[in-house]
Amino acid sequence: MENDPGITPDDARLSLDTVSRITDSANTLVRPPFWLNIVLAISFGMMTFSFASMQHENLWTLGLIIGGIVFVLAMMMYLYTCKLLGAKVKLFPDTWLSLGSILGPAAIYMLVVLGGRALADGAGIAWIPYLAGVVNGTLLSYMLHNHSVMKFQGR
Amino acid sequence: MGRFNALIHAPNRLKLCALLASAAEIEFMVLRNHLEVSDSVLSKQIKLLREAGFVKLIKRKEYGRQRTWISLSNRGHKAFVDHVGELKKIVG
Repeated sequence: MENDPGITPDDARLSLDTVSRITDSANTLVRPPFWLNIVLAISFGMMTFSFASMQHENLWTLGLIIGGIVFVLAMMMYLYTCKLLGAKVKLFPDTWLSLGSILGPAAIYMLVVLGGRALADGAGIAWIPYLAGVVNGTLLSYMLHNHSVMKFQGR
Repeated sequence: MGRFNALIHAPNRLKLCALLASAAEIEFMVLRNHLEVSDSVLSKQIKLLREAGFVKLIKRKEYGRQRTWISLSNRGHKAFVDHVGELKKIVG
């Protein structure tokens, strides 16, 4: 079964197109419904905003905790919804590329969270927490909608 | 390093593997609807891949009904990724 196929580059290209098309369509199976996407994005944005705005256990500490609880509950709801609909989300990467497709956005989220905190608390720029919250919330929403499937192959 | 796999390369099985590689597990009915094939065609493809040790099939009773979940085995995942790698090598 495993030997030289003798297929032409055109055949191979067609097969690769099929794989890409199916992978893209698989995203529709495992992405969260729109309302859940919005809940996840808002709670994540709120966590980012609250973390940047926190000072001496002010009210935004509570915002961070509430945002975190809502985010975890919404994520559990997302996984449960996927299971009900018949497609379980892959939680752990199984190739280097899929690991990269998780770590890349994660590094950006982290950079926004820590950068927002540093600029708001250290440099005292008041509008930075708002920007950080919107950036992280929007990015998470985009990633959940368009890239719910971990990449297992390059294009 | 890619490695061509004739079993995976058949169109329906290639689509099936691509779909299974994108999720942890997918239910039989969802696979059938998504790939737009009949029950018998899908069963046949799954049987062939299962005999090669490329897919796992688990039947569970959930929410009052029997559900059949299909997933790629580690061996199947590796074979599929290798196969895609080989296709890329052919394309150049």
